[in-house]
Amino acid sequence: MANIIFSGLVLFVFCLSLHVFVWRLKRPSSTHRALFLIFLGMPVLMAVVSSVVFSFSADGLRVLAAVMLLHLSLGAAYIMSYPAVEALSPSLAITLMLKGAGASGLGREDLLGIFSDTVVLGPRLADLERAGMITSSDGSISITGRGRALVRPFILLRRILGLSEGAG
Amino acid sequence: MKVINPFDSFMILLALTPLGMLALHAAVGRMLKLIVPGIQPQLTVVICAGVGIFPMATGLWYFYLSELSGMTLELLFGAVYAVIIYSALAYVYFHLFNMSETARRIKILSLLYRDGATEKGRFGSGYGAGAMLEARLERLRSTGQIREADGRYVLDGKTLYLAARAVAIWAWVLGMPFNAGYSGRSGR
Repeated sequence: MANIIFSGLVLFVFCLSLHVFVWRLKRPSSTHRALFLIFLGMPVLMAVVSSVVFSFSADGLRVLAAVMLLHLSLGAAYIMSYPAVEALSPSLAITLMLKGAGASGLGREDLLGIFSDTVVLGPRLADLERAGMITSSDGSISITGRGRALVRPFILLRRILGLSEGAG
Repeated sequence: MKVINPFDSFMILLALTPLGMLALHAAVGRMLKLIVPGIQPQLTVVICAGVGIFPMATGLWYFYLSELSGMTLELLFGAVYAVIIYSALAYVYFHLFNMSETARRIKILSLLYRDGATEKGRFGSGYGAGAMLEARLERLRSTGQIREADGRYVLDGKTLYLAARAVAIWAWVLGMPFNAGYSGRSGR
């Protein structure tokens, strides 16, 4: 088991190093696609190829699967955390602003600028349109099939949990 | 009688962590909402991750770890392996849930999914700056990260602040500019 943990961690650190190297060289335009490729696609492909080439026994395949499970769990956790690095979340931005303000703190109006509609809504609508999730025509916006496919699992998740729509 | 190989059962059970979390969250979340009506949804997930350790540990012990009870070091490494995977996958579940709760793109798509085609001007009013700020201030207040005194907000907890600093350091490692204010280009 120690070998499995060691191998899984080495694989994860290798992918993390590759990610740092690629990002320092030139940050990809589609960062999420690149992250999926580095942390999920490439290691899975390597595992499949090595299991075919080296004809692992049942026990060997078991060890490989255990190593991959460890790596993929850590990789998925990293991918989920990554958006905060690209742009600070509003909650983290609020804490940094309040830290900067010290004991005197900040009023609601001081913080409101973070969320102005031109800053929050405009770029997101543009991103969604670029990604083919929404379309706009004659001043109205509608969701596309791709947008529906993305949002349905989240709606289903909240129904299962008995929760109303998220606050955003 | 154990039909599947014990180690396979051990890994399958660990890999099912997000589904187990979902089932637990659906049950415990409803109960907690009745007992503590104003509880923050994110806190509910953290509680579920803590509670979920017990059935998971029992299952792992039954299927595989009990067979290592004579080998202390193997048992220890088996437990370490399980803890790493359970924590990582519970964290993934937390983020997926949090996206349904706070991600602005998901919110926009949900509104369009529910209301159909919407005029651009009207759309903004349902998703205004004030409502977003209120939602976050309430979340930060109830989790003890900030407090309000005489209409001014002051940093109270350290957890999120330290998380923001860690994010800043990692952005530096990746060679990316880090905006300590808010750039408006959030990933979600």
